[in-house]
Amino acid sequence: MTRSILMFSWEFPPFKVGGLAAHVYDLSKMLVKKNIEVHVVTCGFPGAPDYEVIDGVHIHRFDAYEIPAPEFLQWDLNMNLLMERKAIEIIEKYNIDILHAHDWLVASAAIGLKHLYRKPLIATIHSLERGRRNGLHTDGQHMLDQIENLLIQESWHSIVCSQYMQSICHFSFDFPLDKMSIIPNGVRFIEFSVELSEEEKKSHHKKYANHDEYIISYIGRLVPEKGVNVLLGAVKSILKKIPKTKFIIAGEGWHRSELQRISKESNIDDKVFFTGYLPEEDFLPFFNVSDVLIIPSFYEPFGIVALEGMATKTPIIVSDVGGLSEIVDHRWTGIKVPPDNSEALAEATIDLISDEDLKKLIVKNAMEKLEHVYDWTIIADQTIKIYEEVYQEWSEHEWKTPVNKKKTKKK
Amino acid sequence: MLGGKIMVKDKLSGVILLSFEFPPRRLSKTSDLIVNIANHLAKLGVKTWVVTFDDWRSDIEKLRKNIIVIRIPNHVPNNISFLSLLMNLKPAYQSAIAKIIHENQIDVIHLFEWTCLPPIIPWNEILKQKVIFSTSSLQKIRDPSASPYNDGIKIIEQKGVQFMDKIISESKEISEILILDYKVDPDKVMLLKLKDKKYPQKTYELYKNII
Repeated sequence: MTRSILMFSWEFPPFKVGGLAAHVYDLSKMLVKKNIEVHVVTCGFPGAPDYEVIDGVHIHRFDAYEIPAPEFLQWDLNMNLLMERKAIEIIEKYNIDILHAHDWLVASAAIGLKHLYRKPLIATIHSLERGRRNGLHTDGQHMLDQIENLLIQESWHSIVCSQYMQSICHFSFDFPLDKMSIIPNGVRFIEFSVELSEEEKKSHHKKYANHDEYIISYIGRLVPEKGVNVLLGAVKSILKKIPKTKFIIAGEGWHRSELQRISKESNIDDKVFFTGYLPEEDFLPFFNVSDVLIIPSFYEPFGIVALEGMATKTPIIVSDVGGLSEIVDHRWTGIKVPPDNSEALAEATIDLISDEDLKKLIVKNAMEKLEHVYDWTIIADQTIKIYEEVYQEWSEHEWKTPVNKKKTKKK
Repeated sequence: MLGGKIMVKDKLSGVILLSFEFPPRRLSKTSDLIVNIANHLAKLGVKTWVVTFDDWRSDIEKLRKNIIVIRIPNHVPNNISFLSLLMNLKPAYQSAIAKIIHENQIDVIHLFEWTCLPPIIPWNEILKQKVIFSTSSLQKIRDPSASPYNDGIKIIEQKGVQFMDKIISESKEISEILILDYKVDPDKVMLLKLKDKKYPQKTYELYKNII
């Protein structure tokens, strides 16, 4: 029987802020291929239609800025009123079986509707506030933490992307493990594994470095938990051994000016290049011309950029934290280094760049792991299994939509 | 679909009174007014639920025959503003309201003050019950200055009052804001002062007339 899912996600492509939009898009698209009807309620943006079907996924947008707010957190809470109202329109029009919320940003709307319609609510917890900022330091952070806890408690079942996330949810919120499943993020590795011609490679390489220079790259948000300062700390040691090297930092974030200051004060600013946001057309070539991709995070619930590196056949070096620890098998699908340790990172980078055989082995194994673990087809199957289990439990439970209760009785 | 069948009748079956205060938590005269309304309804045999908030307690109390008080839990005690507190209380209010309307025959939901609007705003087009709103203050009066915070509250008030079946206004000034600024149909606005000794009786008559 075809199930109908309503996903709550504040972002959906082309409106992208973090990795959530891509996750919801890729998952939804694959679920549709597997005969699941997927509706996504998400924030509108100028020029976007209120309703459209993208790759079989029904996208429903609303004006998320109707209620003014002085800052983001208040805006999000206000936005939930509008999202909930839009979701009611969808539920009234389509026969929705399951509500699926992505992260705290949509918790209030999803929880309200769970009670109104007595539908099962599944929550995917992509990350937690207590990890994002290495602890809870402000009222706003405590508030988010409590909302995350509430969403987990209110959900019939939760999905997390790594064992690390599962253990944090379990120990932080005293949450039973059997109400939580681990389903990793995925990557469209076939699309990512397209290789550039030598000529194209040369022309893209030129954008970042001289033709005889290695490129060591980072891509992602420039925020403290990503540990880009640790990479900057490794630059001098790497240059001592491999002088012909450029360090390319791609991405944006509020920490950028601080990182640029560090780069300047360390006298490495002629070797470190901050690109800002990469245009769409430069995204894959950027990976392709990188000799090594460094992911030096302090906190990473999953680390989707590691999969992107693996898919583009770029050898990766990651800090041994969170989801990265689970993605990378040391010296097999990548290299792991202790977090916040520039010297260890420098040493590992020098080793990897100097060892062609190791690079080849890592690239080959990484691709095999992608095919067997991180393929969206596998992830969609795992998600459908949870939908089915939850729906079954719900349909046998006395807490459910009164209308369905009658239907069950008739049967 | 929600809340069972609504039939034309001369007697009220059930009423939900939604408030941000109820004794022992007394912030204004509104809490005492709600007690009086609940008592009046209970005497007339109308099953009454008071869904309310208390900083220090969360419980379900059978106050007397036909009156059940539900003090909702506060799952998000840390907040960045008063409005964020109200928004974070929303799911708990909604959980309580949904349980009542799923399991009981409810004819009227009566909200007291703007603090109770967030739980109802998303639902007001779908609820089968008649919804009434009592207000003794609006943001334009409390703080007329323009700021994203104040403007946000004004929009919340405006969205909230749009779909009310009746609005009980404390003053002419409030009625004017409702009609002129918030574009509420003047026929939906009635003036009734909190100090009116017959407030509970008049409210009951309103309920009966509206269902």
